Amino acid sequence: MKSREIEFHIVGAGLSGLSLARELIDRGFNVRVSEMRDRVGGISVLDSEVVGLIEEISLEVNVSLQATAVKLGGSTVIVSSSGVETIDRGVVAVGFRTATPIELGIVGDRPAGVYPFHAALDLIMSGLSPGRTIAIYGAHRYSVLLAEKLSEYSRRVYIIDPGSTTEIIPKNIEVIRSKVRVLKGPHRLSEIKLDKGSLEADTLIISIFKPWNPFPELPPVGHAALETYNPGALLEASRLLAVNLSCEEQTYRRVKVEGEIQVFPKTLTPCLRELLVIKPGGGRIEVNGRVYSISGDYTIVRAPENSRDLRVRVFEVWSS
Amino acid sequence: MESKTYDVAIIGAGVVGLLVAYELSKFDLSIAIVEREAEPGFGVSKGHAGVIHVVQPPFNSLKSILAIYGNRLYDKVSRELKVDMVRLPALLVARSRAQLALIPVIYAILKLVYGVRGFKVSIVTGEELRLLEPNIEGYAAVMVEGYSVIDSFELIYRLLDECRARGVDLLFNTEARGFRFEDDIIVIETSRGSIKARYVVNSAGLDSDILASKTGGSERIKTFLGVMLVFDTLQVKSIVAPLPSLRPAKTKGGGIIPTVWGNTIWGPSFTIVASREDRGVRAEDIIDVIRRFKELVKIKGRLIKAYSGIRPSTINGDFSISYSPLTKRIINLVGIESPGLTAAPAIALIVAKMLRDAGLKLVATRRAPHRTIHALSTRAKLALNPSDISGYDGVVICPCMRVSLADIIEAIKRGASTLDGIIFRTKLGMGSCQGQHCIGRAIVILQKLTGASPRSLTKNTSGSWLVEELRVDRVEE
Repeated sequence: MKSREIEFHIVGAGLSGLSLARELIDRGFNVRVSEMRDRVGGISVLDSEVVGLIEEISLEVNVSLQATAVKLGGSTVIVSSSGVETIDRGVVAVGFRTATPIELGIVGDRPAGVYPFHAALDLIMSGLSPGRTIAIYGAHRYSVLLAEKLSEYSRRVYIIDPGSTTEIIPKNIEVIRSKVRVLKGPHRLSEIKLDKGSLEADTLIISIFKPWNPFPELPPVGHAALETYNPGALLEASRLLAVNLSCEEQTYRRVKVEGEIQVFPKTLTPCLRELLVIKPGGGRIEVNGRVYSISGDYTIVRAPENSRDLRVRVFEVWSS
Repeated sequence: MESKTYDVAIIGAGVVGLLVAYELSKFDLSIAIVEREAEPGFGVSKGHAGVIHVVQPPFNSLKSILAIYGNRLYDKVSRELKVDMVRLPALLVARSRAQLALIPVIYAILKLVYGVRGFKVSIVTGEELRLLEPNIEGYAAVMVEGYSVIDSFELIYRLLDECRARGVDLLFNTEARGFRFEDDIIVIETSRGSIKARYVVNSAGLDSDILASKTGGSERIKTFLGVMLVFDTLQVKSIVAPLPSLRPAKTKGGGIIPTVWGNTIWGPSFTIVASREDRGVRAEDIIDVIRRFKELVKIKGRLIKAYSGIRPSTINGDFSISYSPLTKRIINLVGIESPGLTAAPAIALIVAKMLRDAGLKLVATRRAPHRTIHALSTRAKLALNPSDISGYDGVVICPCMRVSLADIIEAIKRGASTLDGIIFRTKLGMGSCQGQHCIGRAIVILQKLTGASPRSLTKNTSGSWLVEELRVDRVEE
């Protein structure tokens, strides 16, 4: 195995951070993963399809737990109980940002019992329940996993779906298709007012996610860059970024995107000949004039050679 | 509860009650603070924007006089208590050519009203405005100097620490309900037994009128709600507001306010509300605030929160500071709303004088002033000397605001017993991500360090339970 001196520092030990670490290690790099929590797995920790993989990689990779990336005077540093260290080549794998009530248009009281998804998960992982009658706002893989977990403990669980998810939701969990408008309860949450009607609940777990890179000078991977609820797409994104990062020649072709699709990565080194295109529900896309089909939520497209920049656009949407 | 008779009992541990206690603790007195909530500052004091104001309309009101007096006292207060405060000007910005024409008129009026009271007023040209405030869109502005922004949470907790160090008894979770008289002793009936005192100061905020009425007070409170929006970055260096119109306005305008910890607040709005419990943020108020300021500033950062504060206003709108009609040994502070934070140090001095006039002997204490050592926060250590970080300082729980396990341990040591107690002391969860990575973990830490049962933990008031044990057999349906 080749040994190179460059050390990659990955921020976040969820599925994306760990899978990227493995991809880079396989390419001969010395990698370290910093995780702010005292456990690995991020929001995938309830996902039986990937926990095995996460455990397996975390045994192979150098993971520092309770090591947190923060901004310090314009650069990103890792803070842990052994001190503050600067990082040379970092990658951001910090996962999704949970939308705040105000940006979701939720007004009213500010009672106890309103938790961002991650906070609720932290409570559950420490043996605490965020409440009794629980509404989870957002319908996707992770909210369903959380709902199932809480149902195991006989909590009354609802999923409030602001859109129209195609996710298959177990029968014991009631789904309400609506937007959350107003919260009531001076002390603890007592009522959630919806578009139509209202729901009596003591807990609201906000599970509407946005990709967000809090350290924009570093490249993002996984949910820090992409809104996808498909672990397969996350693994592909890690592999593609690893190809880019390990390329000797750091020149880039840019990817321009038109329409409602997500493309990863946004820049390609000469080593990278593939693109991840995410289009939940599938459809057809066009890359520099050539048309490709997406069945499922995403596809890997072979990038055309001999061209400077790449143009990816939606060609046809398959109604789901 | 207590067989001891205090010289003075202060009802309410808001900023006013705490400053009264702090002022009185300089004298040889036994003092108790009686507070309904589990921690200080959970009432009226938590819902403002942290601005130290200057003159307040109407200009000859008690409010205005005490705001000016209090404003001048704040340099000393913040220095003594080591509270973060920044002096800054307010800019009243003309946003149109029509308003530009009004600048000389507004300048002349403000110079008359503010200038005479010692606050400098000047005209800022469009060019100067762009240099001072690059994010502000405007033709010119009138500048009023003498405002400041203060870390009002830090103020509350420093006052708490200082009062405690000077021997003030703090009786939390104790609701004062009425009074009895035994000779020259006032017996305060509370939710946890009776407390005896020779003098009583009623600084009970929202419920101060109810308490005052128990001994014949006739002031009544009506409540107004102010909604404020918080952005996660600094947008301005001064307090910025639109140029006031010459028509008399019913509503207070609010402003764009930089906080000492790097956020920006827009607001407050100003609406009358029906009940004291009605503190919900309404969509109309948010839209109202956004409409007022969105033309004025290039929005930087993300809107992360809307919160509300309640103003306990008297019917005539002014502060009411008076002896109880029944006895001069009870002083009622009713209707201490905005600019109550500004006026609080002045109110404390006036209360001390009123107590003396009512017969309380104020003899300077011979106890050496106690020095409270405040642990440097992890945020401060990271800013000043990152190589100092080790151990629990390095275990960061809130990455946005850089709050560590050491900060949470210190907050609990200093009396935080609720989640908001930790949040207000450390600023945990007040950054961009609004608690996503820290709130759950902070609750777990609070539970472990206090050893409290999960179900007994609260966000703030007694009904605001947070969690329960995650066990199948424990569910109560």
